[in-house]
Amino acid sequence: MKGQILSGFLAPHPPHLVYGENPPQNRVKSTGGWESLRWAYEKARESIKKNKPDVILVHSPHWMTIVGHHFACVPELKGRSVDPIFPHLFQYDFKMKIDTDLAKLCCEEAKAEGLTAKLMQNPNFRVDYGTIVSLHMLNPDWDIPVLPISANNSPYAFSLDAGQEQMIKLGQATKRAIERRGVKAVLAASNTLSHLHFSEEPNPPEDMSREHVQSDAQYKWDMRVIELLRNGKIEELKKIYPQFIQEAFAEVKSGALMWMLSALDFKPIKADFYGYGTVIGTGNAVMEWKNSAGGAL
Amino acid sequence: MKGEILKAAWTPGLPHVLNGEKSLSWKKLAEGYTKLGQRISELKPDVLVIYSTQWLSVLGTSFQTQPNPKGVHVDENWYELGDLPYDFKSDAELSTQFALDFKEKGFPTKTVNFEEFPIDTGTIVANRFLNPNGKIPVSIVSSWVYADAKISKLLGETMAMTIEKSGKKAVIIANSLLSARFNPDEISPGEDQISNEDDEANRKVLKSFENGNWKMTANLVSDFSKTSPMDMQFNALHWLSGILGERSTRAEILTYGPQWGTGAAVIDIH
Repeated sequence: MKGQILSGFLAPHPPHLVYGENPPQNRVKSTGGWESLRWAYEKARESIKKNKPDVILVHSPHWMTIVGHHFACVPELKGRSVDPIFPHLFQYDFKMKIDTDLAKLCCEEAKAEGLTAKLMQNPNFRVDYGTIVSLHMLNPDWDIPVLPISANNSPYAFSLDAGQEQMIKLGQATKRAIERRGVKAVLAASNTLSHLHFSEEPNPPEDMSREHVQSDAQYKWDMRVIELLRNGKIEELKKIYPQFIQEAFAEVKSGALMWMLSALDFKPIKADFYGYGTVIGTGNAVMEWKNSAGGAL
Repeated sequence: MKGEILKAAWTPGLPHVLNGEKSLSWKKLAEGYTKLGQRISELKPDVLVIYSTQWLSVLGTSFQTQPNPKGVHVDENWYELGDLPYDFKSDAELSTQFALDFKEKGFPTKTVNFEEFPIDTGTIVANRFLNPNGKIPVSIVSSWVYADAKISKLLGETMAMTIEKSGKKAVIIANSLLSARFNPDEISPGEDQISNEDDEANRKVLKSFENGNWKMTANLVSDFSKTSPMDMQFNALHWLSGILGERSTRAEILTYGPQWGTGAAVIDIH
């Protein structure tokens, strides 16, 4: 049976969301915080539970690779992930099953696109916090196999255009690999929108009286982009993408969103908006693109 | 008794240098690193102070204060080169004082004392050669992503004063690349090379290192950036110029060569 992408998610990864939730896997405990985003993720969780995908693929900017695009290809990865940026918030004991067959097919298809691609097969590999946070927030039960994909640094090392072109090819390769594997898949683009933030945090970090967007200009950019995505105006998004990235220092530069939209064939799907919130000043939205809702181009 | 800086050095932090059998360049870099390690050992320093461009921090400058970082690190890009076990002592007292003194200058700082905190590849590589038994206490300082040349230099100046009042004998390590143009594709290690334009830019910096004029060396960065990508804006160089200040120094280039297209050098500054 031909596999299919059920949906794609914009699934930002501030570790504050896990910290605020207090799951047993995280050694650090909080009194809550960032509820608007955490409740947005509850809607994403409901959708995933309802659709029962076979695998969740996640593209994370915190697994940044220099030589090509990498796919985790170890049957099980486990360990403790301490966030190098926010170690006081995130010390998470992770354990994940990897769809290694899908990893191999993705790698094969990426190479067919002309991309440099590799399989990460070191069992001691420590999974980055971006991957873990997005996956935890989408499926805290960890009962669905996953496939972590690295963010090649080409958008930073070369040019935005060259980098995004690679992500578009990677998205197409991912789609074909899912079809060949015969699985029902969900894609998670682990990206924040506007990414300028404060350099100091309150004490305690979950003091929400101190949480707000870094600038009004940044907020306006986020709303403009979300509005386009809610209305399925992908082609318009592409036009403003470089300016958005430059002016809002948007994390989507790393390629996850473009990868996901490409895998969905850039169909003008009106994304379901589940919520928006700031984390230490950055702008984050949780959204879902249901593939069945996609119209003709 | 006043503390003092016994020696400074510029070193590379990519893991390839641990795989010298695969490339002549990597082998020579390892030999230079080993020679530097022997020289440092003879000096019997109280502390190794390492600024690593691979330890990135966002909320200001971070200082490692975990008393005994140990574990196994796997490089996120070159995981096939093998696991990187590490086990060394931190000079938590000095690191804490660095953080306090730089904070007093008006900059955000953090001390980091967490079990299983991911020590970066660069720090582990430097320790492997310069502190192979992990006996010399280490003080690691992060590379703050929002620091510029001025802040990095001020950080160096502040840390030099902290060392002086600590009464400790320190060896200073700037763990950074020169040109940071990575080859984006798989290459045969034996064919690793630096582009001509990067090589030319690197050699100008190396020459300036040898002359020991830190102000002049720091001024080369602007020209360097026009032709070659830099490792964290060359902040390690600005930090080093701040920490060495007006001292009259000479540098000995122990080795210089490519690491996956980048410019790597082991430089003994005394």
